[in-house]
Formats: sequence, C-alpha cells, structure tokens
Amino acid sequence: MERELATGLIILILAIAAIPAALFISTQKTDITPIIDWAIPQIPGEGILVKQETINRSEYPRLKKLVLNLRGTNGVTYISEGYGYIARFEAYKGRGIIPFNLDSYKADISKSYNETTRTLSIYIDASNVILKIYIDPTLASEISINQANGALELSLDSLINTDLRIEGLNTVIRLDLGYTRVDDVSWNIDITNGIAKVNITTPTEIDMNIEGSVLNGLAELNLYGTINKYYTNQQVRLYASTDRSLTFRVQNGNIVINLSTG
Amino acid sequence: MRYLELIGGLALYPEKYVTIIVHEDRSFIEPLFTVLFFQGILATIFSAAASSIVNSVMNAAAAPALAGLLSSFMAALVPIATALGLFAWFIWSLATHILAKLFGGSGDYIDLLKVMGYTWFTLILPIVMGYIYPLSPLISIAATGVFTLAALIWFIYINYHAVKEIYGIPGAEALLSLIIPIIILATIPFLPIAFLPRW
Repeated sequence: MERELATGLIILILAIAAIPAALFISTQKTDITPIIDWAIPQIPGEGILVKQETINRSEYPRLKKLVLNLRGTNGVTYISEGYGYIARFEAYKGRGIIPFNLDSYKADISKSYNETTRTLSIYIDASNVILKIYIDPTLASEISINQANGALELSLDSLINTDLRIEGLNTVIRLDLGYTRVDDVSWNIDITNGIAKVNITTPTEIDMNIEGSVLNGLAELNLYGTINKYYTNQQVRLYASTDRSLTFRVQNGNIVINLSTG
Repeated sequence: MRYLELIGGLALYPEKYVTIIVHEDRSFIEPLFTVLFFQGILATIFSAAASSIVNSVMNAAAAPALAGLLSSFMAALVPIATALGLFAWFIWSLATHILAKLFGGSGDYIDLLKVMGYTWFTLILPIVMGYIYPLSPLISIAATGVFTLAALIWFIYINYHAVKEIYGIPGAEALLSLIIPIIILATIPFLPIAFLPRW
C-alpha cells in the first residue's frame, strides 16, 4: 500500500509543480532564431561593422596625403587619397560590376606613414565594398559617390580626423555625416523604378524642402535643408544603392543633396 | 481506499487496481477530477509553450501587439483543450463500450467511464516533459511527442485490463475495442479528402 501511495503522491506533486513551471515557461523567450532568421529584414545601413579605424590627426601633424587602399577578395582594389586640408578620396571599381561577397565580414586594416612624402597609407583587405564614412559635416564641403563610373569621391574642406568605418552590406552604400547625435536627423532615400522616395526622420525642428523630378529617365532629387542653429551637430544619414549616384554638400549649415539614377 | 493510493496502484499494478475500481463502486467525482486536473495542466503547459514561441516570433518580427493578442488567444485555449479532454473521455469510453458489447461483452458503461477517468493520470508523462522546456524547447517538444505516445500506450494497457474485467471479453477483442475508436478518430480529419473533387 505504501508503494502505491508514494507513487500516487509523486504523480500528484509532479502534476501540481507543473503549474508554476507553465507560468515560468510563458515568461521565457524561446530561442527560435534559426527558424525565423529569414523573417528578419535586412535594414539598409545597419550592416555588420567590419572594422573601425580612427585616423587621428594629432598622430600625424604633418600629414599631407591620405591613401586608402581597399582590396576585395575578388582582387578589385579601391584607392582613396586625401590631400592635406582639402582632401580628395577616390575609389575605383575596376572592371564591371563588383560581386559583393557577404561571406567575409572581416577586414584586415594596416597603416603605414611615410614621413618624407607625408603620406599615410591605409590598406584594407575586405571582401565587401560598402563604405561607411564618418565625416565632420562642418568640415566637409562636398561628397559624391558616382557608381556609374565607379568612383567614390570625397572632397573635404579639411582632412578627415574622425572615424573611418567600413561596413559589409549587400547593395547599400551608407554615408554618415555628423557627430555623436546619431539618429537625430536622418534621411532615407530609396529609388525604385526611377521614383525617388525620401523619408526624413527628425525629432527636432528642421526646415526642409524637397524637390524631385524625373527627366529623360533620370530621377533627380534635390533636398534643401537648413538645420536649426541649435542642432548643427546632428547627423545626416543617407542611403543609396550602388547603382545610383548621390551627391550632397554641406555649406554653412545648409545641406544640399542631389541624387540621381539612371 | 484513498485516491492517491488508487492512482499509484493503477500506475504500478493496473490489473489489480482496475478490479478494485470496478468492484468498489467508487464515486464519479474522482475520475472527473482526474480528467479535469491532468488535462487542464497539460493544456496549461502547451499554452505556455505556444505563447512563449509566439511571443518570440512576433517580437522578432517587430509585431509585439500581435504577440500580445496571440498570447491571449493561447491562454483562452486552456479551457477549450480541457473541455475537449472531457469530451474525449466520454466519447472514447462510449465507443469502447459499444464495441465491447458488439464483441459479445456485457458490462456497465459507467464502470468503464470511471476507470478511463482515473487512467487520465497517464498524461503525467507529457506533463513532466514540459519541465525541460526552458532548458531546451526543441528537445522538450520532441520528448513531449514521444511521451504523449507512451502515455497513450500506457493508457490503453491499463484500460485493456479494464475492458477485460468489465465486459469479460478476450484480450484481443478488448484491445480492438480500445484501439478502433482511436483509429476512427484519427481518420476523421482526413475524411474530407475523400470528398474532394477529382479530375
């Protein structure tokens, strides 16, 4: 009889103890990442950070020229150069369309400085070609990306002395301008079938005019914005697909963005 | 005889304790409680696990509002699943009773209903598998499936003795009386296929 009673008691206790167990389960987050991974959208511009490199101007007080070598695993080399206080960056695509390789997220970065030529060379070995460049907007006078001819150009009023980041992402080039107040102001530009759409997100007051037109198969979009003087340090974030060209200027607190696609 | 001894006895010595249940003329309340209790707990665990999965999926898909809604729906499934268990108890015992009679047996439906009700404790097997859910959801779900099948076999084994005892029919007929209703029940969802238009 004792065995039966003990068995019955164990069954009852196990069953009753399942009630708090069920309550505990309901509060648990089930790790279902492998199952729903496909459902998580890739957010443009939120790619995986490959490597961050800071070029500190104080380390190279006599720096005159900055050379950026970006090498993809497919052998394509990108070369960017910056000269003194008026920097110029150029990246060449090489031949044809660049096959993006998302398999490799690591970039091997090395730097060498030549005091004689006052040139800092940065060698980046990365399989991906998405650049994320942080530039002080008050220093930048013009930035342009022209994927039509394969060149990436950055013209600056001053030498870049902030972060240079390289990100891997599928088909999006991301440019971030600004200081540390990330996401205060953002422009998200999307071009589909020749129609440019702009999403502007800002929690602060900002004067912005958008003009868009489609002429001869080219979608052109001009954004004229004046950032409130109290928020001059806000970040401007632009996204553009690699087959579009994008230019914008920062002049005296005014931002002029020109975007076109063919 | 006390309730817990009876449950433990059915688990350890089913043949002996089936006979006791049949001949002691026990109250209907205890088997009813057993069905509601074990079925309710199992439904609660399933609901909690489903709610956890739904929450994770929906939150990952940036739809927390939908996650809340579906979680509420999962909670509402507990009484529904419990009621379904109650329904299954009545239907299964009735179908077994009819088949046992067709096989030439003579016995009381209420006796079988009582034994089957007590036997609902076999759901403790899948219930226990719920404990390991927080540690490994996938293993828990797989183990619950296996242990539900084990509980079903255990359930049939105990009631096999009950049908033999109550109706006085041979073992093969007793087993068929229990299994045929499950087979019929399992084929019901597929019946509409037979009526699908063909070309």
